[in-house]
Amino acid sequence: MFAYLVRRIAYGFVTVLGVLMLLFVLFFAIADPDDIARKAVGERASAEVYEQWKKNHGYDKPLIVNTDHGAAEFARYTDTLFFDHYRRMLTFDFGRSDADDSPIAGRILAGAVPSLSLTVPLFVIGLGVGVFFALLVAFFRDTYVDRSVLVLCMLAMSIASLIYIIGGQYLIGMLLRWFPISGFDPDPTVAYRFLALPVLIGVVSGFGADVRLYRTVFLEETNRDYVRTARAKGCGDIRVMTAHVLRNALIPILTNVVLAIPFLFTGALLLESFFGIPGLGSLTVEAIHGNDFSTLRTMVYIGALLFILGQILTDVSYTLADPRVRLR
Amino acid sequence: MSKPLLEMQNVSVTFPSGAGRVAVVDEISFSLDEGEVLALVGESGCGKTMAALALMRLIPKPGRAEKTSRITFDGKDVMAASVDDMRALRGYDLSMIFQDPMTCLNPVVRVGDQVVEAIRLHESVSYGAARKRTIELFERVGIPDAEQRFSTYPHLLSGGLKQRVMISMAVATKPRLLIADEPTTALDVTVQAQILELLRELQRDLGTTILLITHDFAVVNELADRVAVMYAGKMVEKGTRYELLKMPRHPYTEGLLGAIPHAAQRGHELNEIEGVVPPPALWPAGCRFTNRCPKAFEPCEGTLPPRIETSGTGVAWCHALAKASGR
Repeated sequence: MFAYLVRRIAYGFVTVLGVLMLLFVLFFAIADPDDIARKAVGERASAEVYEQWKKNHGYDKPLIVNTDHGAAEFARYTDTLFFDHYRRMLTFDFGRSDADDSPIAGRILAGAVPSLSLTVPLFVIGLGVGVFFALLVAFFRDTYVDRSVLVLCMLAMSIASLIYIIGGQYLIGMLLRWFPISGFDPDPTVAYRFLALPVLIGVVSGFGADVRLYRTVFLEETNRDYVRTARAKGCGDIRVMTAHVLRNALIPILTNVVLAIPFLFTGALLLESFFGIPGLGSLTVEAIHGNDFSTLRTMVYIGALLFILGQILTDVSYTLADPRVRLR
Repeated sequence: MSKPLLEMQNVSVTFPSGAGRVAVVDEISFSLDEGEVLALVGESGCGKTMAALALMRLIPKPGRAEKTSRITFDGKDVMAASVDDMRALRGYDLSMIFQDPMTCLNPVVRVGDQVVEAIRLHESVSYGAARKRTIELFERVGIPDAEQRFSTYPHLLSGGLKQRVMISMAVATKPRLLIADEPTTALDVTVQAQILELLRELQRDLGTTILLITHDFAVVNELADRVAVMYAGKMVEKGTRYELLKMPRHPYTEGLLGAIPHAAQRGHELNEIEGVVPPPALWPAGCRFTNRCPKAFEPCEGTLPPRIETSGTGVAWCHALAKASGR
């Protein structure tokens, strides 16, 4: 187990190096630093302002080879954008925003709280609701309950999430006035009022796909021989479902779920921007709109890191759920 | 004579198909006395497992036992029993060993706990007491290192050991009737003999009544007092073990016995029953064995075969037998 983890983390590190290479190509080679700087300072800014800006934001070096230094010097290769990019990302020194010069690390930390206070309840409630309804329809398989829930799921999946957002804001926020339409307050005694609507809408829009997926998993398990054994020894329906089926179905569900956990940090892009929640999703969307390449780069990098972490977590969680899995 | 422990009368199990419901078990009847071992014999798919599941009321949907079926166990009407009554019966007075121990144990629950569950579902005993009993059971059924094995998971046990776990689970509450559905089919030959020996011991010590489902006449010979032979959902012959094995009357029973390899000679092809069992939708209206029967003649195809008493204890359903006996 320990040896496996060390190996996986080593592989993960290699993957991170690859991700950084791709990021470099995307953000420095394809998106030209000169263009970024020119956009940031404006067309009519003087050459001095332009150079100063490039220097402040770390765009003032050559891409890969610095010919200011001699062929024998290390600096020929280390005093470059490429090397700086790797060094900064690997030490989590994210620098300043291209748009407003604020430190990116600070913005991410500030955005993490609203993001998590939206995504964690969304995740927990969504999972609970999905598993509960899936167990219910698996229990009532091939009856009208099952079929009506399935039709409902298909309908729910076919409606775009934007409709849920705008419809929910209109119906609940405007007509019924139960919750505010949008906004956020970090004070927990008030925050829940702002979070209720986006969480509700997030749960509803994920409902169809989740229930269908979990239902399939549960149905597959209910047809297994050990379930018949459980019934033959006198287990009731509820005990069969909770003590036997759920325990086994957990294994495939875990893949789906644990992989999603790291992304709770990156926030819910659409929900945050529509509900005015100043989280990491909003941060990313703003960065895209505002040509804020350094922030965007950082968010993509963090997303990749979390993804790799999620993969390792999934493997580890398997060993906890399934005694047949041993990591070596 | 006292009432039999189990009476199955006109039991039918049907599944929906394109043209209405097809009876995969068609009006079969048999009974079991206390302490007796009855072997239900037949090819794969002849409905013997379904007949047993009807008794457990565990027929998988969309199949069902027809209303005309009468099942009486220990004086109780099984067909009319409530869900709760059935649950109390299953695994307590009525337990079942399944064919494939590889898939029949829950893969993510420790084997000991699976037996503990069987005990604690029916008796209000503490976990510790149930655990102690389970370890004793494990020792009784010949699981070495019972104490340590309690905490292992099924995938770490061999097929034979898994079947021993299944058996200890089934006999944990000293059931009145034990259904053993091909208990040795999935196991190695050497292990098969051990498991049969274990079943025989348990039967002797506990006096358990056993409904043994099998297609293996060696198993029948080892354990059974009486034998019932099924073909394509119908009962074709019943009798004592001696009658069935030594003096089979129905052509199908003869064919089955003739196909046992030890009767074959080197250099000759193995005996077989010509053809295959037709799928339920293509079963003949009369005797279902018609198209494979060496003795088939004109009435076999269209009319149901008559019930012929072959001895004081044996019956068979066959037109050819009826003709031979002059009826």
